[in-house]
Amino acid sequence: MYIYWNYYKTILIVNVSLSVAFGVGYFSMLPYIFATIGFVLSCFLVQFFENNTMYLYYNLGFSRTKLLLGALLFNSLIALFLLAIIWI
Amino acid sequence: MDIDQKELYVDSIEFSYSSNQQLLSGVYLHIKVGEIVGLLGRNGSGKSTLMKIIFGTLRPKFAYIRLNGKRIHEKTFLTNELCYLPQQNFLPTAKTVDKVVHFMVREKNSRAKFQEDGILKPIWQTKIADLSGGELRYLEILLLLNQKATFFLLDEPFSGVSPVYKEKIQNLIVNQCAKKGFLISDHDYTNVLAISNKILLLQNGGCRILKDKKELELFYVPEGTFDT
Repeated sequence: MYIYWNYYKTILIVNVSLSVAFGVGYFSMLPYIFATIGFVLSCFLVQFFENNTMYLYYNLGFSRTKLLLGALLFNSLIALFLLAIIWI
Repeated sequence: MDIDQKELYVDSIEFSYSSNQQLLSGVYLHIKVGEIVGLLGRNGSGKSTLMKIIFGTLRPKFAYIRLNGKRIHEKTFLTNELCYLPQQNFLPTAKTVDKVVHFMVREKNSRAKFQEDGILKPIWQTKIADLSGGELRYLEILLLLNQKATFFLLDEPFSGVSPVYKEKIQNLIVNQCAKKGFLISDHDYTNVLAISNKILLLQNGGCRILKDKKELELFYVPEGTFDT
Protein backbone atom coordinates (compact mmCIF):
# COMPACT_ATOMS: atom_id res chain seq x y z
CA MET A 1 0.00 0.00 0.00
CA TYR A 2 2.88 2.31 0.91
CA ILE A 3 4.48 1.86 -2.53
CA TYR A 4 1.18 2.56 -4.32
CA TRP A 5 0.56 5.67 -2.22
CA ASN A 6 4.07 6.92 -2.85
CA TYR A 7 3.59 6.55 -6.61
CA TYR A 8 0.20 8.22 -6.44
CA LYS A 9 1.57 11.22 -4.46
CA THR A 10 3.51 12.38 -7.54
CA ILE A 11 0.36 12.18 -9.65
CA LEU A 12 -1.72 13.84 -6.94
CA ILE A 13 0.44 16.96 -6.80
CA VAL A 14 0.17 17.43 -10.57
CA ASN A 15 -3.53 16.56 -10.62
CA VAL A 16 -4.42 19.09 -7.87
CA SER A 17 -2.55 21.84 -9.74
CA LEU A 18 -4.21 20.97 -13.07
CA SER A 19 -7.69 20.58 -11.58
CA VAL A 20 -7.50 23.90 -9.78
CA ALA A 21 -6.26 25.58 -12.98
CA PHE A 22 -9.00 24.00 -15.11
CA GLY A 23 -11.69 24.52 -12.48
CA VAL A 24 -11.23 28.26 -11.88
CA GLY A 25 -14.75 29.67 -11.69
CA TYR A 26 -16.36 26.21 -11.74
CA PHE A 27 -15.78 25.08 -8.17
CA SER A 28 -18.59 22.48 -8.26
CA MET A 29 -16.94 20.82 -11.28
CA LEU A 30 -13.65 20.33 -9.43
CA PRO A 31 -14.22 16.68 -8.32
CA TYR A 32 -15.22 15.69 -11.86
CA ILE A 33 -12.16 17.36 -13.41
CA PHE A 34 -10.00 15.79 -10.68
CA ALA A 35 -11.41 12.33 -11.38
CA THR A 36 -11.26 12.48 -15.17
CA ILE A 37 -9.14 14.78 -17.33
CA GLY A 38 -6.96 15.93 -14.43
CA PHE A 39 -6.05 12.35 -13.57
CA VAL A 40 -5.42 11.22 -17.14
CA LEU A 41 -3.33 14.29 -17.94
CA SER A 42 -1.29 14.08 -14.75
CA CYS A 43 -0.59 10.36 -15.33
CA PHE A 44 0.63 11.23 -18.80
CA LEU A 45 2.80 14.11 -17.56
CA VAL A 46 4.33 12.07 -14.73
CA GLN A 47 5.02 9.21 -17.14
CA PHE A 48 6.62 11.59 -19.62
CA PHE A 49 8.83 13.56 -17.24
CA GLU A 50 9.54 10.94 -14.58
CA ASN A 51 9.89 7.93 -16.86
CA ASN A 52 13.23 6.82 -15.47
CA THR A 53 11.99 6.75 -11.86
CA MET A 54 9.75 3.87 -12.94
CA TYR A 55 12.83 1.66 -12.52
CA LEU A 56 12.58 2.35 -8.80
CA TYR A 57 9.20 0.59 -8.77
CA TYR A 58 10.23 -2.12 -11.24
CA ASN A 59 13.13 -3.02 -8.95
CA LEU A 60 10.63 -3.41 -6.12
CA GLY A 61 8.58 -5.78 -8.30
CA PHE A 62 5.75 -3.43 -9.32
CA SER A 63 4.58 -3.03 -12.89
CA ARG A 64 3.30 0.20 -14.41
CA THR A 65 -0.18 -1.26 -14.85
CA LYS A 66 -0.40 -2.27 -11.18
CA LEU A 67 0.72 1.18 -10.06
CA LEU A 68 -1.71 2.97 -12.37
CA LEU A 69 -4.59 0.85 -11.08
CA GLY A 70 -3.59 1.68 -7.52
CA ALA A 71 -3.41 5.36 -8.43
CA LEU A 72 -6.86 5.18 -10.04
CA LEU A 73 -8.26 3.72 -6.84
CA PHE A 74 -6.74 6.41 -4.62
CA ASN A 75 -7.83 9.12 -7.05
CA SER A 76 -11.42 7.86 -7.15
CA LEU A 77 -11.59 7.80 -3.36
CA ILE A 78 -10.32 11.39 -3.11
CA ALA A 79 -12.71 12.48 -5.89
CA LEU A 80 -15.65 10.91 -4.01
CA PHE A 81 -14.55 12.68 -0.84
CA LEU A 82 -14.42 16.03 -2.69
CA LEU A 83 -17.85 15.32 -4.17
CA ALA A 84 -19.25 14.59 -0.70
CA ILE A 85 -17.86 17.89 0.61
CA ILE A 86 -19.53 19.80 -2.22
CA TRP A 87 -22.87 18.06 -1.67
CA ILE A 88 -22.76 18.81 2.06
CA MET B 1 15.81 -23.90 -3.64
CA ASP B 2 19.41 -23.67 -2.43
CA ILE B 3 21.06 -20.38 -3.21
CA ASP B 4 23.91 -22.03 -5.16
CA GLN B 5 21.41 -23.77 -7.44
CA LYS B 6 19.82 -20.52 -8.56
CA GLU B 7 20.53 -19.54 -12.15
CA LEU B 8 19.50 -17.13 -14.85
CA TYR B 9 19.41 -18.71 -18.29
CA VAL B 10 18.73 -16.65 -21.36
CA ASP B 11 18.58 -18.05 -24.87
CA SER B 12 17.52 -17.24 -28.43
CA ILE B 13 16.86 -13.56 -27.88
CA GLU B 14 15.69 -11.92 -31.07
CA PHE B 15 15.24 -8.17 -31.19
CA SER B 16 15.25 -5.36 -33.72
CA TYR B 17 14.36 -1.68 -33.48
CA SER B 18 13.69 -1.43 -37.21
CA SER B 19 12.30 -4.10 -39.50
CA ASN B 20 15.38 -4.32 -41.74
CA GLN B 21 18.15 -4.53 -39.12
CA GLN B 22 18.36 -7.23 -36.47
CA LEU B 23 20.11 -5.93 -33.31
CA LEU B 24 20.13 -9.16 -31.30
CA SER B 25 19.84 -12.59 -32.81
CA GLY B 26 20.11 -15.83 -30.87
CA VAL B 27 21.75 -14.28 -27.82
CA TYR B 28 22.62 -16.82 -25.15
CA LEU B 29 23.89 -16.27 -21.62
CA HIS B 30 23.92 -18.14 -18.36
CA ILE B 31 24.59 -16.67 -14.92
CA LYS B 32 24.90 -18.62 -11.69
CA VAL B 33 25.12 -17.39 -8.11
CA GLY B 34 28.71 -16.46 -7.36
CA GLU B 35 29.40 -15.32 -10.90
CA ILE B 36 30.23 -11.80 -11.98
CA VAL B 37 29.77 -11.74 -15.73
CA GLY B 38 31.30 -8.83 -17.61
CA LEU B 39 29.31 -7.91 -20.71
CA LEU B 40 31.41 -5.90 -23.15
CA GLY B 41 30.63 -4.55 -26.56
CA ARG B 42 30.91 -1.50 -28.74
CA ASN B 43 28.44 1.40 -28.68
CA GLY B 44 25.14 0.32 -30.18
CA SER B 45 25.92 -3.39 -29.94
CA GLY B 46 22.80 -3.93 -27.83
CA LYS B 47 24.14 -4.33 -24.26
CA SER B 48 21.53 -2.09 -22.63
CA THR B 49 18.81 -3.48 -24.89
CA LEU B 50 19.74 -7.00 -23.82
CA MET B 51 19.59 -6.05 -20.15
CA LYS B 52 16.19 -4.39 -20.59
CA ILE B 53 14.86 -7.49 -22.35
CA ILE B 54 16.12 -9.76 -19.57
CA PHE B 55 14.68 -7.41 -16.93
CA GLY B 56 11.33 -7.34 -18.72
CA THR B 57 10.94 -3.68 -19.63
CA LEU B 58 11.52 -4.19 -23.33
CA ARG B 59 9.57 -6.69 -25.41
CA PRO B 60 11.67 -8.79 -27.80
CA LYS B 61 10.50 -10.67 -30.90
CA PHE B 62 11.42 -13.84 -29.08
CA ALA B 63 13.16 -14.68 -25.81
CA TYR B 64 13.58 -17.81 -23.75
CA ILE B 65 14.27 -16.77 -20.17
CA ARG B 66 14.51 -19.34 -17.41
CA LEU B 67 14.96 -18.21 -13.82
CA ASN B 68 15.78 -20.78 -11.12
CA GLY B 69 14.50 -23.60 -13.31
CA LYS B 70 11.20 -21.95 -14.26
CA ARG B 71 10.47 -20.44 -17.63
CA ILE B 72 9.43 -16.80 -17.34
CA HIS B 73 6.55 -15.75 -19.58
CA GLU B 74 5.69 -12.51 -17.78
CA LYS B 75 7.91 -9.50 -17.08
CA THR B 76 10.94 -10.90 -15.25
CA PHE B 77 11.10 -8.11 -12.66
CA LEU B 78 7.70 -9.17 -11.28
CA THR B 79 9.41 -12.24 -9.79
CA ASN B 80 11.47 -10.01 -7.43
CA GLU B 81 14.48 -12.17 -8.32
CA LEU B 82 16.06 -9.62 -10.61
CA CYS B 83 17.23 -6.02 -10.15
CA TYR B 84 18.39 -3.66 -12.85
CA LEU B 85 20.56 -0.56 -12.61
CA PRO B 86 19.74 1.58 -15.66
CA GLN B 87 22.29 3.85 -17.30
CA GLN B 88 20.39 6.97 -16.23
CA ASN B 89 19.76 7.77 -12.58
CA PHE B 90 16.45 6.38 -11.42
CA LEU B 91 16.01 7.92 -7.97
CA PRO B 92 13.51 10.80 -7.62
CA THR B 93 15.59 13.99 -7.56
CA ALA B 94 13.28 15.94 -5.24
CA LYS B 95 13.62 13.46 -2.37
CA THR B 96 16.39 13.36 0.23
CA VAL B 97 18.71 10.38 0.73
CA ASP B 98 17.01 9.34 4.00
CA LYS B 99 13.55 9.46 2.34
CA VAL B 100 14.71 7.28 -0.55
CA VAL B 101 16.40 4.80 1.79
CA HIS B 102 13.26 4.70 3.95
CA PHE B 103 11.19 4.01 0.83
CA MET B 104 13.33 1.23 -0.60
CA VAL B 105 14.58 -0.42 2.58
CA ARG B 106 11.77 -1.56 4.85
CA GLU B 107 13.81 -3.20 7.62
CA LYS B 108 14.89 -0.91 10.44
CA ASN B 109 18.22 -2.70 11.03
CA SER B 110 19.21 -2.42 7.38
CA ARG B 111 18.27 1.27 7.37
CA ALA B 112 20.50 1.84 10.39
CA LYS B 113 23.40 0.29 8.46
CA PHE B 114 22.76 2.74 5.61
CA GLN B 115 22.84 5.63 8.05
CA GLU B 116 26.17 4.47 9.47
CA ASP B 117 27.75 4.08 6.02
CA GLY B 118 30.82 6.30 5.70
CA ILE B 119 29.71 7.81 2.39
CA LEU B 120 26.00 8.18 3.14
CA LYS B 121 26.32 9.61 6.67
CA PRO B 122 27.43 13.14 5.61
CA ILE B 123 24.81 13.33 2.84
CA TRP B 124 21.92 11.73 4.75
CA GLN B 125 19.67 14.82 4.54
CA THR B 126 20.85 15.93 1.09
CA LYS B 127 18.49 15.94 -1.88
CA ILE B 128 19.20 13.38 -4.60
CA ALA B 129 19.50 16.26 -7.11
CA ASP B 130 22.42 17.69 -5.12
CA LEU B 131 24.48 14.50 -4.92
CA SER B 132 27.64 14.04 -6.98
CA GLY B 133 27.65 11.42 -9.74
CA GLY B 134 29.74 9.03 -7.64
CA GLU B 135 27.62 9.39 -4.51
CA LEU B 136 24.44 8.84 -6.49
CA ARG B 137 25.74 5.73 -8.28
CA TYR B 138 27.03 4.33 -4.98
CA LEU B 139 23.64 4.93 -3.32
CA GLU B 140 21.72 3.38 -6.22
CA ILE B 141 23.87 0.25 -6.20
CA LEU B 142 23.73 -0.05 -2.42
CA LEU B 143 19.92 0.24 -2.51
CA LEU B 144 19.63 -2.40 -5.21
CA LEU B 145 21.99 -4.81 -3.45
CA ASN B 146 19.82 -4.53 -0.38
CA GLN B 147 16.83 -5.95 -2.26
CA LYS B 148 16.10 -9.65 -1.89
CA ALA B 149 16.79 -10.33 -5.60
CA THR B 150 19.42 -12.91 -6.54
CA PHE B 151 20.50 -11.58 -9.94
CA PHE B 152 21.62 -8.04 -10.71
CA LEU B 153 21.96 -6.40 -14.09
CA LEU B 154 24.20 -3.37 -13.78
CA ASP B 155 24.32 -1.09 -16.80
CA GLU B 156 27.36 1.19 -16.65
CA PRO B 157 27.86 1.20 -12.88
CA PHE B 158 31.25 2.93 -13.23
CA SER B 159 30.18 5.60 -15.69
CA GLY B 160 30.98 9.15 -14.50
CA VAL B 161 32.37 7.87 -11.22
CA SER B 162 35.75 8.84 -9.71
CA PRO B 163 38.39 6.12 -9.03
CA VAL B 164 37.71 6.14 -5.26
CA TYR B 165 34.01 5.47 -5.78
CA LYS B 166 34.77 2.91 -8.49
CA GLU B 167 36.78 0.94 -5.96
CA LYS B 168 33.98 1.19 -3.39
CA ILE B 169 31.42 0.02 -5.95
CA GLN B 170 33.69 -2.89 -6.90
CA ASN B 171 33.97 -3.86 -3.22
CA LEU B 172 30.17 -3.73 -2.82
CA ILE B 173 29.73 -6.11 -5.74
CA VAL B 174 32.52 -8.51 -4.75
CA ASN B 175 31.29 -8.66 -1.13
CA GLN B 176 27.81 -9.72 -2.28
CA CYS B 177 29.06 -12.15 -4.90
CA ALA B 178 28.78 -15.30 -2.75
CA LYS B 179 24.98 -14.97 -2.54
CA LYS B 180 24.20 -13.22 -5.81
CA GLY B 181 24.92 -13.26 -9.53
CA PHE B 182 25.87 -10.20 -11.58
CA LEU B 183 25.81 -9.13 -15.19
CA ILE B 184 27.86 -5.95 -15.55
CA SER B 185 28.19 -3.85 -18.65
CA ASP B 186 30.46 -0.82 -18.87
CA HIS B 187 32.77 0.83 -21.36
CA ASP B 188 35.28 1.18 -18.52
CA TYR B 189 36.40 -2.37 -19.24
CA THR B 190 39.39 -2.37 -16.87
CA ASN B 191 37.09 -2.03 -13.85
CA VAL B 192 34.71 -4.66 -15.23
CA LEU B 193 37.53 -7.10 -15.93
CA ALA B 194 39.04 -6.50 -12.49
CA ILE B 195 36.04 -8.10 -10.76
CA SER B 196 34.43 -10.37 -13.35
CA ASN B 197 35.06 -14.10 -13.47
CA LYS B 198 33.45 -14.58 -16.90
CA ILE B 199 33.69 -12.29 -19.93
CA LEU B 200 31.07 -12.00 -22.66
CA LEU B 201 31.43 -9.96 -25.79
CA LEU B 202 28.30 -8.81 -27.55
CA GLN B 203 29.09 -8.54 -31.23
CA ASN B 204 27.11 -8.79 -34.46
CA GLY B 205 23.94 -9.54 -32.51
CA GLY B 206 25.35 -12.51 -30.60
CA CYS B 207 27.23 -13.23 -27.38
CA ARG B 208 30.72 -14.65 -27.52
CA ILE B 209 32.28 -16.17 -24.38
CA LEU B 210 35.91 -15.12 -24.03
CA LYS B 211 38.36 -17.41 -22.27
CA ASP B 212 40.64 -14.63 -21.07
CA LYS B 213 41.05 -10.90 -21.42
CA LYS B 214 43.85 -11.31 -23.97
CA GLU B 215 41.17 -12.57 -26.37
CA LEU B 216 39.57 -9.11 -26.16
CA GLU B 217 42.45 -7.81 -28.26
CA LEU B 218 41.07 -9.75 -31.21
CA PHE B 219 37.64 -8.13 -31.09
CA TYR B 220 37.34 -5.18 -28.71
CA VAL B 221 40.50 -3.38 -27.62
CA PRO B 222 43.66 -2.43 -29.56
CA GLU B 223 46.33 -5.10 -29.84
CA GLY B 224 48.92 -4.94 -27.09
CA THR B 225 46.51 -3.50 -24.49
CA PHE B 226 47.13 -6.35 -22.06
CA ASP B 227 50.84 -6.79 -22.76
CA THR B 228 52.83 -6.59 -19.57
